[in-house]
Amino acid sequence: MGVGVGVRMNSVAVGLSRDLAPKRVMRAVAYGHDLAVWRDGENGLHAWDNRCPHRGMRLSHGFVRGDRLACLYHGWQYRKDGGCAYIPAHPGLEPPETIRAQTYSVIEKSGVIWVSTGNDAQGVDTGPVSEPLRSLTFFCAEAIARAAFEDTPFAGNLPQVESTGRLVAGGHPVAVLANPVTESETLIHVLTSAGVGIAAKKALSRWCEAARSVAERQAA
Amino acid sequence: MSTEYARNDWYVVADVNQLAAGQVVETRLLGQPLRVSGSPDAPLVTTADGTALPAQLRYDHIWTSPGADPRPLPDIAEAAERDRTFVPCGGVRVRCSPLRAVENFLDIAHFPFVHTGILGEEPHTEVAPYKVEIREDVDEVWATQIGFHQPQAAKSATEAIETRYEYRVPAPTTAVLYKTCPPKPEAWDVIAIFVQPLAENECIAWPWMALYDEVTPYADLVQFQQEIFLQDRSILENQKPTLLPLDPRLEIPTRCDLTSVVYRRWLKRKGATYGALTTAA
Amino acid sequence: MIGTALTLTGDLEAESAIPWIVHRGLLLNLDGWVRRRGAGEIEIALAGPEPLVAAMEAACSLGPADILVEHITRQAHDFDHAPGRFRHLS
Repeated sequence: MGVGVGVRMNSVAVGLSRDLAPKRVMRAVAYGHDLAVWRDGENGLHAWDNRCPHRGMRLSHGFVRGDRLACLYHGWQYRKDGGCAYIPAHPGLEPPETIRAQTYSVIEKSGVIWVSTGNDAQGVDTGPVSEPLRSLTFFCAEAIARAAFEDTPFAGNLPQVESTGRLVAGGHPVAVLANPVTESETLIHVLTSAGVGIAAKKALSRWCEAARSVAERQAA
Repeated sequence: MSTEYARNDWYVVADVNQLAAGQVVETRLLGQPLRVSGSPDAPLVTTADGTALPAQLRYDHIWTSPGADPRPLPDIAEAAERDRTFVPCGGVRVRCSPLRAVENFLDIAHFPFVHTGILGEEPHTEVAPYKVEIREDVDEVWATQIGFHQPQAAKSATEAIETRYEYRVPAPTTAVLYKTCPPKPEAWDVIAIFVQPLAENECIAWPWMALYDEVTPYADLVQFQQEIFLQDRSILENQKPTLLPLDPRLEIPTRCDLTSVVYRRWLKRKGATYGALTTAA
Repeated sequence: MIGTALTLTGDLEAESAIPWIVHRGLLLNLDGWVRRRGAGEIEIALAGPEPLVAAMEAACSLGPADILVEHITRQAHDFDHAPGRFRHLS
Protein backbone atom coordinates (compact mmCIF):
# COMPACT_ATOMS: atom_id res chain seq x y z
CA MET A 1 0.00 0.00 0.00
CA GLY A 2 2.94 2.38 0.39
CA VAL A 3 3.23 5.40 2.62
CA GLY A 4 0.05 6.58 4.23
CA VAL A 5 -1.46 3.25 5.28
CA GLY A 6 -3.72 3.81 8.23
CA VAL A 7 -2.94 7.53 8.19
CA ARG A 8 -5.77 9.95 7.51
CA MET A 9 -4.24 11.74 4.52
CA ASN A 10 -5.15 15.38 4.11
CA SER A 11 -2.43 16.17 1.60
CA VAL A 12 -1.23 14.83 -1.69
CA ALA A 13 2.26 14.72 -3.21
CA VAL A 14 2.06 16.99 -6.26
CA GLY A 15 5.75 17.12 -7.16
CA LEU A 16 9.35 17.02 -6.03
CA SER A 17 11.00 19.99 -4.34
CA ARG A 18 14.05 19.71 -6.60
CA ASP A 19 11.89 20.08 -9.73
CA LEU A 20 10.77 23.60 -8.81
CA ALA A 21 13.54 26.20 -8.79
CA PRO A 22 13.13 29.65 -7.22
CA LYS A 23 11.03 32.08 -9.34
CA ARG A 24 9.54 29.23 -11.38
CA VAL A 25 5.95 28.06 -11.82
CA MET A 26 4.68 24.57 -12.55
CA ARG A 27 1.33 22.99 -13.19
CA ALA A 28 0.11 20.33 -10.78
CA VAL A 29 -3.05 18.47 -9.82
CA ALA A 30 -4.41 17.81 -6.32
CA TYR A 31 -7.69 16.01 -5.72
CA GLY A 32 -8.81 16.85 -9.23
CA HIS A 33 -7.99 20.57 -8.88
CA ASP A 34 -5.78 22.16 -11.54
CA LEU A 35 -3.02 24.05 -9.69
CA ALA A 36 -0.25 26.56 -10.32
CA VAL A 37 2.60 25.84 -7.87
CA TRP A 38 5.30 28.50 -7.70
CA ARG A 39 8.33 29.65 -5.74
CA ASP A 40 8.99 33.29 -4.97
CA GLY A 41 12.45 34.86 -5.00
CA GLU A 42 13.02 33.88 -1.34
CA ASN A 43 12.27 30.21 -2.06
CA GLY A 44 8.79 30.44 -0.51
CA LEU A 45 6.34 27.94 -1.95
CA HIS A 46 2.76 28.66 -3.07
CA ALA A 47 -0.06 26.55 -4.57
CA TRP A 48 -2.99 28.33 -6.20
CA ASP A 49 -6.03 27.53 -8.26
CA ASN A 50 -4.64 27.50 -11.80
CA ARG A 51 -6.82 30.30 -13.08
CA CYS A 52 -6.36 34.05 -13.24
CA PRO A 53 -9.56 35.65 -11.90
CA HIS A 54 -9.40 38.29 -14.64
CA ARG A 55 -10.04 36.22 -17.79
CA GLY A 56 -9.45 32.58 -16.77
CA MET A 57 -5.88 32.12 -18.06
CA ARG A 58 -3.86 29.32 -16.45
CA LEU A 59 -1.47 30.95 -13.97
CA SER A 60 0.99 28.07 -14.46
CA HIS A 61 1.96 29.84 -17.71
CA GLY A 62 2.71 33.01 -15.73
CA PHE A 63 5.99 34.46 -14.53
CA VAL A 64 7.44 35.35 -11.14
CA ARG A 65 8.65 38.87 -10.38
CA GLY A 66 10.21 39.13 -6.94
CA ASP A 67 7.56 37.97 -4.51
CA ARG A 68 4.67 38.16 -6.99
CA LEU A 69 3.18 35.81 -9.59
CA ALA A 70 2.06 37.52 -12.81
CA CYS A 71 -0.41 36.15 -15.34
CA LEU A 72 1.02 35.77 -18.84
CA TYR A 73 -2.10 37.11 -20.56
CA HIS A 74 -2.48 40.67 -19.22
CA GLY A 75 0.25 40.76 -16.60
CA TRP A 76 -2.01 41.00 -13.52
CA GLN A 77 0.27 40.56 -10.49
CA TYR A 78 -0.62 38.70 -7.30
CA ARG A 79 1.07 38.85 -3.90
CA LYS A 80 2.10 35.75 -1.93
CA ASP A 81 -1.23 35.82 -0.08
CA GLY A 82 -3.09 35.67 -3.42
CA GLY A 83 -4.23 39.31 -3.34
CA CYS A 84 -4.02 41.23 -6.60
CA ALA A 85 -1.26 43.86 -6.36
CA TYR A 86 -1.16 45.43 -9.82
CA ILE A 87 -3.22 45.65 -13.01
CA PRO A 88 -0.91 46.90 -15.81
CA ALA A 89 -3.74 48.21 -18.02
CA HIS A 90 -4.79 50.48 -15.12
CA PRO A 91 -1.46 51.34 -13.45
CA GLY A 92 -2.94 54.06 -11.25
CA LEU A 93 -5.38 51.71 -9.54
CA GLU A 94 -4.64 50.08 -6.22
CA PRO A 95 -6.60 46.82 -6.58
CA PRO A 96 -8.92 46.06 -3.64
CA GLU A 97 -8.22 43.14 -1.30
CA THR A 98 -11.32 41.42 -2.66
CA ILE A 99 -9.64 40.66 -6.02
CA ARG A 100 -7.55 37.58 -5.35
CA ALA A 101 -6.33 34.25 -6.65
CA GLN A 102 -7.60 31.21 -4.76
CA THR A 103 -4.84 29.76 -2.60
CA TYR A 104 -4.28 26.27 -1.23
CA SER A 105 -2.26 25.08 1.72
CA VAL A 106 1.16 23.73 0.69
CA ILE A 107 4.30 22.48 2.49
CA GLU A 108 7.54 20.71 1.70
CA LYS A 109 8.50 17.58 3.58
CA SER A 110 10.94 14.79 2.68
CA GLY A 111 11.85 16.57 -0.56
CA VAL A 112 8.24 16.47 -1.71
CA ILE A 113 5.67 19.23 -2.31
CA TRP A 114 2.38 18.46 -0.54
CA VAL A 115 -0.89 20.27 -1.18
CA SER A 116 -4.12 20.21 0.78
CA THR A 117 -7.47 21.55 -0.32
CA GLY A 118 -8.12 22.27 3.36
CA ASN A 119 -6.04 24.78 5.28
CA ASP A 120 -3.41 22.57 6.87
CA ALA A 121 -1.24 20.62 4.45
CA GLN A 122 0.85 18.19 6.47
CA GLY A 123 2.50 15.72 4.12
CA VAL A 124 4.21 12.56 5.24
CA ASP A 125 7.60 12.31 6.87
CA THR A 126 9.33 9.50 4.99
CA GLY A 127 12.32 9.71 7.36
CA PRO A 128 15.64 8.87 5.74
CA VAL A 129 13.79 7.62 2.65
CA SER A 130 13.73 11.02 0.98
CA GLU A 131 15.95 10.69 -2.07
CA PRO A 132 13.84 11.07 -5.24
CA LEU A 133 14.24 8.05 -7.51
CA ARG A 134 11.58 8.33 -10.22
CA SER A 135 8.37 10.18 -11.03
CA LEU A 136 6.07 8.22 -13.33
CA THR A 137 2.54 8.49 -14.66
CA PHE A 138 0.50 5.28 -14.37
CA PHE A 139 -2.59 5.10 -16.56
CA CYS A 140 -4.74 3.41 -13.93
CA ALA A 141 -6.53 4.19 -10.69
CA GLU A 142 -4.52 5.01 -7.57
CA ALA A 143 -5.35 1.75 -5.72
CA ILE A 144 -4.19 -0.38 -8.66
CA ALA A 145 -0.98 1.64 -8.93
CA ARG A 146 -0.18 1.24 -5.24
CA ALA A 147 -0.98 -2.49 -5.23
CA ALA A 148 1.24 -3.07 -8.27
CA PHE A 149 4.36 -2.14 -6.29
CA GLU A 150 3.62 -4.87 -3.74
CA ASP A 151 2.84 -7.39 -6.48
CA THR A 152 5.92 -6.79 -8.63
CA PRO A 153 8.97 -8.91 -7.77
CA PHE A 154 12.38 -7.28 -7.42
CA ALA A 155 15.20 -9.71 -8.35
CA GLY A 156 12.77 -12.61 -8.04
CA ASN A 157 11.31 -11.70 -4.65
CA LEU A 158 8.22 -9.70 -3.74
CA PRO A 159 9.04 -6.59 -1.70
CA GLN A 160 8.37 -6.61 2.04
CA VAL A 161 5.83 -4.21 3.45
CA GLU A 162 6.99 -2.46 6.64
CA SER A 163 4.71 -1.35 9.45
CA THR A 164 5.35 2.28 8.37
CA GLY A 165 3.83 1.46 5.01
CA ARG A 166 7.22 1.69 3.31
CA LEU A 167 8.47 -1.13 1.10
CA VAL A 168 11.80 -2.90 1.09
CA ALA A 169 12.78 -4.14 -2.37
CA GLY A 170 15.99 -6.17 -2.64
CA GLY A 171 17.05 -4.76 0.72
CA HIS A 172 16.50 -1.13 -0.42
CA PRO A 173 13.93 1.03 1.38
CA VAL A 174 11.32 2.57 -0.92
CA ALA A 175 8.47 5.04 -0.35
CA VAL A 176 5.75 5.16 -3.00
CA LEU A 177 3.70 8.39 -3.07
CA ALA A 178 0.60 8.36 -5.24
CA ASN A 179 -1.33 11.36 -6.55
CA PRO A 180 -4.63 10.45 -8.22
CA VAL A 181 -4.83 12.86 -11.16
CA THR A 182 -8.03 11.32 -12.54
CA GLU A 183 -9.88 8.00 -12.08
CA SER A 184 -7.58 6.47 -14.68
CA GLU A 185 -4.32 8.38 -14.24
CA THR A 186 -2.05 8.38 -11.21
CA LEU A 187 1.15 10.32 -10.73
CA ILE A 188 3.68 8.28 -8.73
CA HIS A 189 6.74 9.61 -6.92
CA VAL A 190 9.16 6.95 -5.72
CA LEU A 191 11.73 7.82 -3.04
CA THR A 192 14.57 5.76 -1.65
CA SER A 193 17.37 6.50 0.82
CA ALA A 194 20.41 8.57 0.01
CA GLY A 195 22.82 5.68 0.63
CA VAL A 196 21.54 3.55 -2.24
CA GLY A 197 24.16 3.20 -4.98
CA ILE A 198 23.84 3.91 -8.69
CA ALA A 199 23.51 0.26 -9.74
CA ALA A 200 20.76 -0.36 -7.18
CA LYS A 201 18.96 2.83 -8.26
CA LYS A 202 18.98 1.63 -11.85
CA ALA A 203 17.57 -1.72 -10.76
CA LEU A 204 14.88 0.02 -8.66
CA SER A 205 14.06 2.26 -11.60
CA ARG A 206 13.46 -0.79 -13.83
CA TRP A 207 11.35 -2.30 -11.05
CA CYS A 208 9.17 0.85 -11.06
CA GLU A 209 8.65 0.42 -14.79
CA ALA A 210 7.74 -3.25 -14.25
CA ALA A 211 5.20 -2.17 -11.62
CA ARG A 212 3.73 0.25 -14.13
CA SER A 213 3.33 -2.57 -16.66
CA VAL A 214 1.62 -4.74 -14.02
CA ALA A 215 -0.74 -1.91 -13.06
CA GLU A 216 -1.63 -0.86 -16.59
CA ARG A 217 -2.21 -4.51 -17.65
CA GLN A 218 -4.59 -4.92 -14.75
CA ALA A 219 -6.40 -1.66 -15.57
CA ALA A 220 -6.75 -2.51 -19.27
CA MET B 1 -25.27 23.40 -27.96
CA SER B 2 -27.18 25.00 -30.79
CA THR B 3 -26.01 25.62 -34.34
CA GLU B 4 -29.27 27.37 -35.16
CA TYR B 5 -27.75 30.84 -35.48
CA ALA B 6 -24.33 29.66 -36.60
CA ARG B 7 -25.56 27.59 -39.57
CA ASN B 8 -26.55 30.70 -41.50
CA ASP B 9 -23.19 32.46 -41.37
CA TRP B 10 -20.45 32.10 -43.97
CA TYR B 11 -17.16 30.44 -42.98
CA VAL B 12 -13.70 30.08 -44.47
CA VAL B 13 -12.87 26.42 -45.07
CA ALA B 14 -9.69 26.75 -47.19
CA ASP B 15 -7.46 29.43 -48.67
CA VAL B 16 -6.85 30.21 -52.31
CA ASN B 17 -3.31 28.84 -52.22
CA GLN B 18 -4.52 25.36 -51.31
CA LEU B 19 -6.90 25.09 -54.26
CA ALA B 20 -4.41 26.77 -56.62
CA ALA B 21 -1.98 23.98 -55.69
CA GLY B 22 -4.60 21.40 -56.60
CA GLN B 23 -5.20 20.23 -53.04
CA VAL B 24 -8.36 18.47 -51.93
CA VAL B 25 -8.97 19.67 -48.37
CA GLU B 26 -10.69 17.36 -45.88
CA THR B 27 -11.91 19.51 -43.02
CA ARG B 28 -14.82 20.10 -40.64
CA LEU B 29 -17.34 22.86 -40.04
CA LEU B 30 -19.62 23.08 -36.97
CA GLY B 31 -18.72 19.45 -36.20
CA GLN B 32 -19.55 18.09 -39.67
CA PRO B 33 -16.94 16.73 -42.10
CA LEU B 34 -16.51 18.65 -45.37
CA ARG B 35 -14.45 18.28 -48.53
CA VAL B 36 -13.14 21.33 -50.38
CA SER B 37 -11.96 20.79 -53.95
CA GLY B 38 -12.06 22.39 -57.36
CA SER B 39 -10.19 25.51 -58.47
CA PRO B 40 -10.06 28.98 -56.88
CA ASP B 41 -12.54 30.26 -59.48
CA ALA B 42 -14.85 27.25 -59.24
CA PRO B 43 -14.57 25.91 -55.70
CA LEU B 44 -16.59 22.90 -54.63
CA VAL B 45 -17.62 22.23 -51.02
CA THR B 46 -19.36 18.92 -50.29
CA THR B 47 -20.66 17.25 -47.14
CA ALA B 48 -20.03 13.61 -46.17
CA ASP B 49 -23.12 12.46 -48.08
CA GLY B 50 -22.01 14.27 -51.22
CA THR B 51 -24.37 17.26 -50.92
CA ALA B 52 -22.86 20.38 -52.45
CA LEU B 53 -22.89 23.50 -50.24
CA PRO B 54 -22.70 27.02 -51.64
CA ALA B 55 -19.09 28.04 -52.15
CA GLN B 56 -17.41 31.31 -53.11
CA LEU B 57 -13.99 32.88 -53.31
CA ARG B 58 -13.72 36.11 -51.26
CA TYR B 59 -10.70 37.80 -49.69
CA ASP B 60 -8.37 35.06 -51.00
CA HIS B 61 -10.30 32.36 -49.10
CA ILE B 62 -12.96 29.79 -49.93
CA TRP B 63 -16.19 30.43 -48.00
CA THR B 64 -19.22 28.24 -47.45
CA SER B 65 -22.42 28.20 -45.39
CA PRO B 66 -24.35 25.09 -44.32
CA GLY B 67 -27.56 27.04 -43.62
CA ALA B 68 -30.73 27.21 -45.70
CA ASP B 69 -30.85 31.01 -45.61
CA PRO B 70 -27.36 32.44 -45.14
CA ARG B 71 -26.89 36.05 -44.04
CA PRO B 72 -24.71 38.12 -46.41
CA LEU B 73 -20.97 37.50 -46.28
CA PRO B 74 -19.42 40.55 -44.55
CA ASP B 75 -18.21 43.24 -46.92
CA ILE B 76 -14.65 44.49 -46.51
CA ALA B 77 -14.44 47.49 -48.83
CA GLU B 78 -10.64 47.69 -48.76
CA ALA B 79 -10.48 44.39 -50.68
CA ALA B 80 -11.34 46.41 -53.79
CA GLU B 81 -8.42 48.84 -53.39
CA ARG B 82 -5.95 47.75 -56.04
CA ASP B 83 -2.88 49.45 -54.54
CA ARG B 84 -3.00 47.24 -51.44
CA THR B 85 -1.04 44.01 -50.99
CA PHE B 86 -3.36 41.13 -50.08
CA VAL B 87 -1.91 38.44 -47.87
CA PRO B 88 -3.72 35.25 -46.89
CA CYS B 89 -1.57 34.02 -44.01
CA GLY B 90 -2.63 30.36 -43.87
CA GLY B 91 -4.59 28.69 -41.10
CA VAL B 92 -3.57 28.27 -37.47
CA ARG B 93 -5.41 25.45 -35.74
CA VAL B 94 -6.29 26.21 -32.13
CA ARG B 95 -7.94 24.01 -29.52
CA CYS B 96 -10.30 26.66 -28.22
CA SER B 97 -13.77 28.00 -28.83
CA PRO B 98 -13.99 29.93 -32.12
CA LEU B 99 -15.49 32.81 -30.13
CA ARG B 100 -12.46 32.92 -27.82
CA ALA B 101 -10.21 33.26 -30.88
CA VAL B 102 -12.21 36.31 -32.00
CA GLU B 103 -12.30 37.78 -28.48
CA ASN B 104 -8.51 37.53 -28.22
CA PHE B 105 -8.13 39.25 -31.61
CA LEU B 106 -10.11 42.18 -30.17
CA ASP B 107 -7.88 42.49 -27.09
CA ILE B 108 -5.09 45.04 -26.83
CA ALA B 109 -4.12 44.83 -23.15
CA HIS B 110 -2.21 41.57 -23.75
CA PHE B 111 0.21 43.02 -26.30
CA PRO B 112 3.05 43.89 -23.87
CA PHE B 113 2.96 40.40 -22.32
CA VAL B 114 2.12 38.00 -25.17
CA HIS B 115 3.62 39.91 -28.14
CA THR B 116 6.50 41.45 -26.19
CA GLY B 117 8.74 43.70 -28.26
CA ILE B 118 6.44 43.55 -31.30
CA LEU B 119 2.92 44.79 -30.57
CA GLY B 120 3.67 46.05 -27.07
CA GLU B 121 6.26 46.35 -24.33
CA GLU B 122 6.47 47.32 -20.68
CA PRO B 123 6.18 49.89 -19.20
CA HIS B 124 3.70 50.98 -21.92
CA THR B 125 0.85 48.86 -20.54
CA GLU B 126 -1.85 51.41 -19.78
CA VAL B 127 -4.99 51.18 -21.88
CA ALA B 128 -6.57 54.60 -22.33
CA PRO B 129 -10.37 54.78 -22.43
CA TYR B 130 -11.83 53.96 -25.85
CA LYS B 131 -15.29 53.68 -27.32
CA VAL B 132 -17.23 50.47 -28.01
CA GLU B 133 -20.72 50.27 -29.46
CA ILE B 134 -23.14 47.98 -31.23
CA ARG B 135 -24.01 49.82 -34.45
CA GLU B 136 -27.65 48.91 -34.80
CA ASP B 137 -27.98 49.98 -38.45
CA VAL B 138 -25.43 47.41 -39.59
CA ASP B 139 -25.65 45.05 -36.57
CA GLU B 140 -21.90 45.15 -35.98
CA VAL B 141 -19.66 45.70 -32.96
CA TRP B 142 -17.24 48.62 -33.36
CA ALA B 143 -14.41 49.66 -31.05
CA THR B 144 -12.84 52.99 -31.90
CA GLN B 145 -10.49 55.69 -30.56
CA ILE B 146 -7.93 53.09 -29.45
CA GLY B 147 -4.29 54.13 -29.16
CA PHE B 148 -1.37 51.95 -28.10
CA HIS B 149 2.42 52.21 -28.00
CA GLN B 150 3.90 49.56 -30.32
CA PRO B 151 7.59 48.71 -30.74
CA GLN B 152 7.02 47.13 -34.19
CA ALA B 153 3.44 47.70 -35.27
CA ALA B 154 3.98 45.97 -38.63
CA LYS B 155 6.76 44.37 -40.64
CA SER B 156 7.09 47.73 -42.39
CA ALA B 157 7.62 49.67 -39.13
CA THR B 158 11.11 51.01 -38.55
CA GLU B 159 10.58 52.40 -35.05
CA ALA B 160 8.12 52.31 -32.17
CA ILE B 161 4.97 54.30 -32.87
CA GLU B 162 1.72 55.24 -31.17
CA THR B 163 -0.59 53.03 -33.21
CA ARG B 164 -4.26 53.83 -33.67
CA TYR B 165 -6.70 50.94 -33.84
CA GLU B 166 -10.31 50.38 -34.79
CA TYR B 167 -12.00 47.01 -34.55
CA ARG B 168 -15.09 45.88 -36.37
CA VAL B 169 -16.99 42.61 -35.78
CA PRO B 170 -19.45 42.07 -38.64
CA ALA B 171 -20.18 38.40 -37.79
CA PRO B 172 -19.51 36.26 -34.67
CA THR B 173 -16.48 34.56 -36.28
CA THR B 174 -15.26 37.41 -38.49
CA ALA B 175 -13.38 40.42 -37.17
CA VAL B 176 -11.55 43.23 -38.92
CA LEU B 177 -8.82 45.46 -37.52
CA TYR B 178 -7.97 48.83 -39.01
CA LYS B 179 -4.62 50.10 -37.74
CA THR B 180 -2.13 52.85 -38.49
CA CYS B 181 -0.07 52.01 -41.55
CA PRO B 182 3.58 52.80 -40.59
CA PRO B 183 4.81 53.92 -44.07
CA LYS B 184 1.54 55.75 -44.85
CA PRO B 185 0.20 57.24 -41.60
CA GLU B 186 -2.87 58.80 -43.24
CA ALA B 187 -4.15 55.35 -44.29
CA TRP B 188 -5.25 52.24 -42.44
CA ASP B 189 -3.74 48.80 -42.77
CA VAL B 190 -6.44 46.13 -42.66
CA ILE B 191 -5.97 42.84 -40.82
CA ALA B 192 -8.89 40.44 -40.59
CA ILE B 193 -9.38 37.15 -38.85
CA PHE B 194 -11.73 34.59 -40.33
CA VAL B 195 -12.40 31.84 -37.80
CA GLN B 196 -13.51 28.42 -39.01
CA PRO B 197 -15.37 26.62 -36.21
CA LEU B 198 -14.34 22.95 -36.49
CA ALA B 199 -16.29 22.27 -33.30
CA GLU B 200 -17.33 24.28 -30.25
CA ASN B 201 -13.89 23.77 -28.72
CA GLU B 202 -11.66 23.74 -31.80
CA CYS B 203 -11.11 26.15 -34.66
CA ILE B 204 -8.82 27.32 -37.42
CA ALA B 205 -7.92 31.03 -37.44
CA TRP B 206 -7.27 32.35 -40.95
CA PRO B 207 -5.58 35.78 -40.75
CA TRP B 208 -5.79 37.92 -43.87
CA MET B 209 -4.13 41.27 -44.48
CA ALA B 210 -4.71 44.11 -46.93
CA LEU B 211 -1.67 46.33 -46.47
CA TYR B 212 0.17 49.23 -47.99
CA ASP B 213 3.54 47.49 -48.15
CA GLU B 214 5.22 46.99 -51.51
CA VAL B 215 8.63 46.32 -50.01
CA THR B 216 8.43 43.38 -47.62
CA PRO B 217 8.58 39.95 -49.30
CA TYR B 218 5.32 38.00 -49.16
CA ALA B 219 6.87 35.18 -47.11
CA ASP B 220 8.06 37.66 -44.46
CA LEU B 221 4.59 39.21 -44.15
CA VAL B 222 3.08 35.75 -43.64
CA GLN B 223 5.74 34.80 -41.12
CA PHE B 224 5.24 38.02 -39.11
CA GLN B 225 1.53 37.36 -38.76
CA GLN B 226 1.93 33.61 -38.13
CA GLU B 227 4.39 34.32 -35.32
CA ILE B 228 1.86 36.60 -33.64
CA PHE B 229 -0.92 34.01 -33.94
CA LEU B 230 1.26 31.24 -32.53
CA GLN B 231 1.88 33.46 -29.49
CA ASP B 232 -1.87 33.91 -29.15
CA ARG B 233 -2.43 30.16 -29.38
CA SER B 234 -0.48 29.56 -26.16
CA ILE B 235 -3.03 31.80 -24.43
CA LEU B 236 -6.15 30.49 -26.14
CA GLU B 237 -5.45 26.85 -25.35
CA ASN B 238 -5.02 27.67 -21.66
CA GLN B 239 -8.08 29.70 -20.82
CA LYS B 240 -10.69 28.15 -18.57
CA PRO B 241 -13.42 27.32 -19.28
CA THR B 242 -12.78 26.27 -22.89
CA LEU B 243 -16.07 27.77 -24.07
CA LEU B 244 -16.59 31.55 -23.96
CA PRO B 245 -18.65 32.42 -20.85
CA LEU B 246 -21.47 34.83 -21.64
CA ASP B 247 -21.89 35.25 -17.86
CA PRO B 248 -18.65 36.78 -16.48
CA ARG B 249 -19.38 35.69 -12.88
CA LEU B 250 -15.97 34.04 -12.56
CA GLU B 251 -14.12 36.80 -14.38
CA ILE B 252 -13.21 40.40 -13.58
CA PRO B 253 -13.56 42.48 -16.72
CA THR B 254 -12.28 46.05 -16.38
CA ARG B 255 -12.59 49.06 -18.66
CA CYS B 256 -9.84 47.75 -20.96
CA ASP B 257 -11.97 44.61 -21.56
CA LEU B 258 -14.93 46.60 -22.85
CA THR B 259 -14.67 45.24 -26.42
CA SER B 260 -14.85 41.70 -25.03
CA VAL B 261 -17.86 42.62 -22.89
CA VAL B 262 -19.77 44.25 -25.75
CA TYR B 263 -18.87 41.37 -28.11
CA ARG B 264 -20.31 38.88 -25.59
CA ARG B 265 -23.42 40.97 -25.05
CA TRP B 266 -23.93 41.12 -28.83
CA LEU B 267 -23.57 37.32 -29.10
CA LYS B 268 -25.99 36.82 -26.21
CA ARG B 269 -28.59 39.11 -27.73
CA LYS B 270 -28.36 37.39 -31.12
CA GLY B 271 -28.43 33.89 -29.64
CA ALA B 272 -25.09 33.22 -31.36
CA THR B 273 -24.12 30.64 -28.77
CA TYR B 274 -22.11 28.07 -30.75
CA GLY B 275 -18.82 27.98 -28.77
CA ALA B 276 -20.32 29.90 -25.84
CA LEU B 277 -21.08 28.86 -22.31
CA THR B 278 -24.63 30.02 -21.72
CA THR B 279 -25.03 28.86 -18.12
CA ALA B 280 -23.27 30.36 -15.09
CA ALA B 281 -19.62 29.25 -15.36
CA MET C 1 -20.71 62.91 -1.37
CA ILE C 2 -20.91 62.51 -5.15
CA GLY C 3 -20.89 58.99 -6.55
CA THR C 4 -22.14 57.33 -9.72
CA ALA C 5 -25.60 56.10 -10.66
CA LEU C 6 -26.02 53.33 -13.23
CA THR C 7 -29.43 52.57 -14.66
CA LEU C 8 -29.91 49.23 -16.41
CA THR C 9 -32.85 48.63 -18.70
CA GLY C 10 -33.79 45.55 -20.67
CA ASP C 11 -34.96 42.02 -19.93
CA LEU C 12 -34.02 42.05 -16.25
CA GLU C 13 -36.81 40.14 -14.51
CA ALA C 14 -34.80 37.02 -13.58
CA GLU C 15 -34.31 36.62 -9.82
CA SER C 16 -30.59 36.06 -10.39
CA ALA C 17 -30.07 39.72 -11.38
CA ILE C 18 -29.91 41.41 -7.96
CA PRO C 19 -27.76 38.77 -6.15
CA TRP C 20 -25.40 38.79 -9.14
CA ILE C 21 -25.00 42.56 -8.99
CA VAL C 22 -24.49 42.49 -5.20
CA HIS C 23 -21.79 39.82 -5.62
CA ARG C 24 -20.02 41.99 -8.22
CA GLY C 25 -20.23 45.12 -6.06
CA LEU C 26 -18.62 43.26 -3.16
CA LEU C 27 -16.01 41.63 -5.43
CA LEU C 28 -14.97 45.11 -6.56
CA ASN C 29 -15.08 46.37 -2.97
CA LEU C 30 -17.46 49.19 -3.85
CA ASP C 31 -19.81 51.09 -1.58
CA GLY C 32 -23.41 51.73 -2.49
CA TRP C 33 -26.56 49.83 -3.30
CA VAL C 34 -28.77 48.25 -5.96
CA ARG C 35 -32.56 48.26 -6.20
CA ARG C 36 -35.30 47.39 -8.65
CA ARG C 37 -37.27 50.23 -10.12
CA GLY C 38 -39.76 48.14 -12.06
CA ALA C 39 -39.83 44.99 -14.13
CA GLY C 40 -37.35 46.19 -16.72
CA GLU C 41 -35.21 48.63 -14.75
CA ILE C 42 -32.51 48.32 -12.09
CA GLU C 43 -30.82 51.25 -10.37
CA ILE C 44 -27.31 51.07 -8.94
CA ALA C 45 -25.57 53.77 -6.88
CA LEU C 46 -21.82 53.46 -6.40
CA ALA C 47 -18.90 55.06 -4.65
CA GLY C 48 -15.30 53.98 -5.20
CA PRO C 49 -12.24 54.45 -7.42
CA GLU C 50 -13.15 55.25 -11.04
CA PRO C 51 -11.51 52.12 -12.59
CA LEU C 52 -13.59 49.92 -10.26
CA VAL C 53 -16.79 51.84 -11.01
CA ALA C 54 -16.01 51.34 -14.71
CA ALA C 55 -15.40 47.61 -14.04
CA MET C 56 -18.80 47.44 -12.31
CA GLU C 57 -20.43 49.06 -15.31
CA ALA C 58 -18.70 46.63 -17.70
CA ALA C 59 -19.68 43.55 -15.69
CA CYS C 60 -23.28 44.64 -15.14
CA SER C 61 -23.78 45.41 -18.84
CA LEU C 62 -23.39 41.66 -19.38
CA GLY C 63 -24.75 40.28 -16.11
CA PRO C 64 -25.95 36.75 -15.39
CA ALA C 65 -26.92 34.34 -18.19
CA ASP C 66 -30.68 34.83 -17.84
CA ILE C 67 -30.88 38.61 -18.17
CA LEU C 68 -30.27 40.86 -21.17
CA VAL C 69 -29.20 44.44 -20.58
CA GLU C 70 -30.34 46.57 -23.51
CA HIS C 71 -29.10 49.91 -22.22
CA ILE C 72 -26.96 51.16 -19.39
CA THR C 73 -26.82 54.86 -18.55
CA ARG C 74 -24.45 56.58 -16.19
CA GLN C 75 -24.76 59.83 -14.27
CA ALA C 76 -23.64 61.47 -11.05
CA HIS C 77 -25.37 60.41 -7.84
CA ASP C 78 -25.48 62.56 -4.71
CA PHE C 79 -25.33 60.38 -1.59
CA ASP C 80 -26.95 62.03 1.46
CA HIS C 81 -24.51 60.21 3.75
CA ALA C 82 -21.70 57.66 3.45
CA PRO C 83 -23.25 54.77 1.53
CA GLY C 84 -21.51 51.84 3.25
CA ARG C 85 -20.69 48.40 1.89
CA PHE C 86 -22.49 47.51 -1.34
CA ARG C 87 -25.88 45.93 -0.67
CA HIS C 88 -29.39 45.29 -1.90
CA LEU C 89 -31.74 48.13 -0.97
CA SER C 90 -35.14 46.46 -0.82
